[in-house]
Amino acid sequence: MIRGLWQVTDGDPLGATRDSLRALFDTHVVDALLVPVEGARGSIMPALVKNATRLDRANPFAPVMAFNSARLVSMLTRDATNAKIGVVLRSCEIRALIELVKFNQAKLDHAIIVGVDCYGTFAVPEFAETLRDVPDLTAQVLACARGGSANSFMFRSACAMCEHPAPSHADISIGFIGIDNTKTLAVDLRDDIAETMGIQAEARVIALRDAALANLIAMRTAQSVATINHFRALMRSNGGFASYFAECLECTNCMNACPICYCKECFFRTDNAARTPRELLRLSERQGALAMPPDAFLFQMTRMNHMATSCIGCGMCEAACPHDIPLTAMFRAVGARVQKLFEYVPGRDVNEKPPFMEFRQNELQRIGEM
Amino acid sequence: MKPRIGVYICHCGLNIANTVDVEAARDFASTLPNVVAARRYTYMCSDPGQALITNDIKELKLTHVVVASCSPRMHEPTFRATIQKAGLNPYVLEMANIREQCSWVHSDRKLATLKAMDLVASAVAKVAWLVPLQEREVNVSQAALIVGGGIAGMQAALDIADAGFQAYLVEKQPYLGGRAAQLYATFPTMERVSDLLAPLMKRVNEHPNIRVMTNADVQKVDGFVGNFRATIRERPTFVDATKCDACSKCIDACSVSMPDEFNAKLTTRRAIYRPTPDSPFVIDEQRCTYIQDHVCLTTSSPIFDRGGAACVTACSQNAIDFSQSEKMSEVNIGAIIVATGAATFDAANKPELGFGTYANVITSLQFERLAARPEGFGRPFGSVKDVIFIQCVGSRDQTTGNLYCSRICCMVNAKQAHIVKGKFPDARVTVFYADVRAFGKGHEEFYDAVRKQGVRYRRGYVSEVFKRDNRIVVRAEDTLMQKSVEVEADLVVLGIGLTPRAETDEIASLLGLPRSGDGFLLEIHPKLRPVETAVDGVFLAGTCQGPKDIVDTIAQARAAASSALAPLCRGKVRVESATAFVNEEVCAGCGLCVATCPYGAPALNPRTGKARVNAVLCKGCGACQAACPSKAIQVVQFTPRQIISEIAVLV
Repeated sequence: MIRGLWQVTDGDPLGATRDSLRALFDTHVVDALLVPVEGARGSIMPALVKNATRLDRANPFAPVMAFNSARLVSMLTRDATNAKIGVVLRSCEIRALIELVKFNQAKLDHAIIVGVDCYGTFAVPEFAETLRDVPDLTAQVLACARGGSANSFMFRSACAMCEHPAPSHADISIGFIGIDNTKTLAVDLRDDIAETMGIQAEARVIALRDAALANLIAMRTAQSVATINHFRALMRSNGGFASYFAECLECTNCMNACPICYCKECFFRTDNAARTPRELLRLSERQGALAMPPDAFLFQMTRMNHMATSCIGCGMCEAACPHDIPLTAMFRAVGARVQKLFEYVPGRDVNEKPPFMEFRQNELQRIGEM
Repeated sequence: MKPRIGVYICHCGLNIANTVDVEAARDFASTLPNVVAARRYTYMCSDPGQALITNDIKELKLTHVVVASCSPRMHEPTFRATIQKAGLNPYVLEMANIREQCSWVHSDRKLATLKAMDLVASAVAKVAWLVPLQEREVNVSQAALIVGGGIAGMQAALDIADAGFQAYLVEKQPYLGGRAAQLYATFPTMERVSDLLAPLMKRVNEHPNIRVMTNADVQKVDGFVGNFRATIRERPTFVDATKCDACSKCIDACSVSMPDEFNAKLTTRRAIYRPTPDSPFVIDEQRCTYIQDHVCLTTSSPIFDRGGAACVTACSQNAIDFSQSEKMSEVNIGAIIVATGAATFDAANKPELGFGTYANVITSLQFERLAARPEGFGRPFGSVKDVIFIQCVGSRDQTTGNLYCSRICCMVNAKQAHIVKGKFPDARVTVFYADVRAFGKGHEEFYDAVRKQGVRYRRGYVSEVFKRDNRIVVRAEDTLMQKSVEVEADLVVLGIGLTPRAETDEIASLLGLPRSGDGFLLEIHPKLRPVETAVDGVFLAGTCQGPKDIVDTIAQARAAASSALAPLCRGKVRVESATAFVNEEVCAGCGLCVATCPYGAPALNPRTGKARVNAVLCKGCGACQAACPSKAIQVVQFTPRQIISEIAVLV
């Protein structure tokens, strides 16, 4: 990798980034680019751009995440095409993508990962609301990110405890945290891409950026520890786990929003899981009163069972929940324990096998060992 | 058509009826959906009991049957045959275990009856979803693989070969004979082990149906009973046995020196050596510096100088050939016999006994090697007036973690005491023992004879072996006299036990064999099925399964061979009918099933990316179904629909 700088003119890092993304087309580094694009009324959604002139509305820095695009990369790479597909992703999207690759749901052979710093994101409704008061929200966030310090934005809970503000595994990384992003952006490029794009290694050490990132990660880590501890305390209190899902509709929005939940057909949507009226009446008879819908808790536990090891903590499940069940805290808390148990870090390495796929002779020898 | 279910509740004499109100359970069963007949009987497995079922199938046109009785491991085959005789498919049977899982483990009659009702309801709910299955058979490869060329492996190979089948005998060492080849004489008959082994080896080597592969190991095994495929690696010996005239000049020329394992480390050997007194010459690939570091230790000659190795120069027959390379062969076999033997306990793990510190503290294995020398036992210890044997070294011992009795050491010590007395009638021989276990044929008589010879048995635990005024002293607690004693000795022999080989993990993971708590390979049932393993078609022989003497080893080897011959003779094996299948529309191709299957049955179709199952390899264990998040892969007779139906009536 070559570490370099992109010059920003007119104090407009977004403009400079759009130019650089266009350069990816011009130099044939990519043939198409999946990138967040500003739509009507300021909404930001990913688009697959083929015509580079359409990049004038690209905005990979907007502090909103409507979608974890790892799912879209899966859609774009499952079968090999001749096209080189660039995908502009945040860390959580890249890490989800790494997990999907392990489950054969995406391929990296023809993908060029363009990773961008993420300072944190709003949920879609909060973003729209904030945008009404602060029309230059992207610029505000970029300004705040220069110092890399704490901020007063009401980011999603997943972002507030995210320890991965900078992207990993990217062929091209664009960094704006801890750097005067009105003048330059920090970039890391694969050697061949740097050569193609004519970018030289930059001798100036970006020490300030590294320090700012470390500081930010420390704050986020403290937040995640606090959130996880709070969740654990809640589990020990009255009601515990079961009451956590009291409002769950079994709408399966969380499952649809999860970038990794990759089944073609969820078991809970098949007849296999359908309850007969006779069963429901009998359950009700046994319990006196049966919470409806009947299998919401089972659904959540099954999702937990399937996803706890691979969950990279993007929090899309929580954003999708119509009743704001704090799913991120639960997945982070349970994930932390389960992942530690198997010495597994999701999204760390594409060659690291998920615990389910690997047999280790000498693990978990005692019954109940955790 | 709606299912027509018959429910049959067994009293099992009073085993069930004493605890479960079988009449109430029957009444309850008759109210369950789709049940057209519910009966109870003293012994459902008896002829009249089975007749109840067959009559109902014919007269009431039953489509599915539930038998509420014992574990399916006990009588599922019985009742499958019953309903098959009456014209039903054998797989539309479900058993409710109201004995092991109910009456035997509960005492409250009322609660046990309610539980029995639940179990019956659960079985009734599931049985309606069961589908008829085909019984399937595949042809068997008419050969067996025997891993380990010791006395067990050789005997098993001979039995397979004598029955007319091909036997592949794979031995890790460059020679046949295994542990027995190191031994001097047998107990209690005092025959020379070499006299027993030589004819056995001769027969094995000359048998047209046996292919002996020494200096070889099994690299890979896949397949299943009747159709295993094994990859065997034969390592080169680097010595052309057809040219070698056994002059030993090469050995004299070699400067690499290391303890000789065959002589229980009493002597040293070279990198080129003769593993046993009458085996062909071999170069130890791991220790020859010419092979490992490309420089001969004697001549300092680098490898590109072809004649540079000292052994090559020394050999007048041009027998040494460094160009030999390892050979891989694949063999198809129908059964596998594991006869990999055991290790001996390392007496250095009991430092208080002085082994390794004092030259005249030796192990019982070293005693055998000394006794086997042409000049017999005696030297190099000079005077042999006081000899002490210590039993149970490394066996029955909390501190070493080996809680088991090694079975052979009592008689080995008695035999060796007898040898000492034979050679030195005036020697004072003492045996410190915890118990004497002389349980075999002729063993007690032999032990008595040894005592009459003047060998003194003292019951006691040896706490320390130390040196005082140039003599070895054994300090022990004499538990009969209840006092501490010290006995001086010229020679101390430690009766070391047998332990699992360090490589047991390799063979266990190669074949998927479980191990028992003591670390030895595990038979499937300690009493009724002592040679079979959890893997169909893989059998155990000899000390890999646990310590045993030559008699028991031979007996188990022949038992393993006869078990292995069953599928070979029959020529066909039944394969599991309840196998996995894939719903391709639901399969996401993630490969979890492929990674989880212990039998390699599912694989991803490279064209579609979806999983597909090789039904011949599938054992129906259901690991894939448990792993598959969308249940795109399912096992017939254990589909989610069937299991959920079963559970739904219980919760």
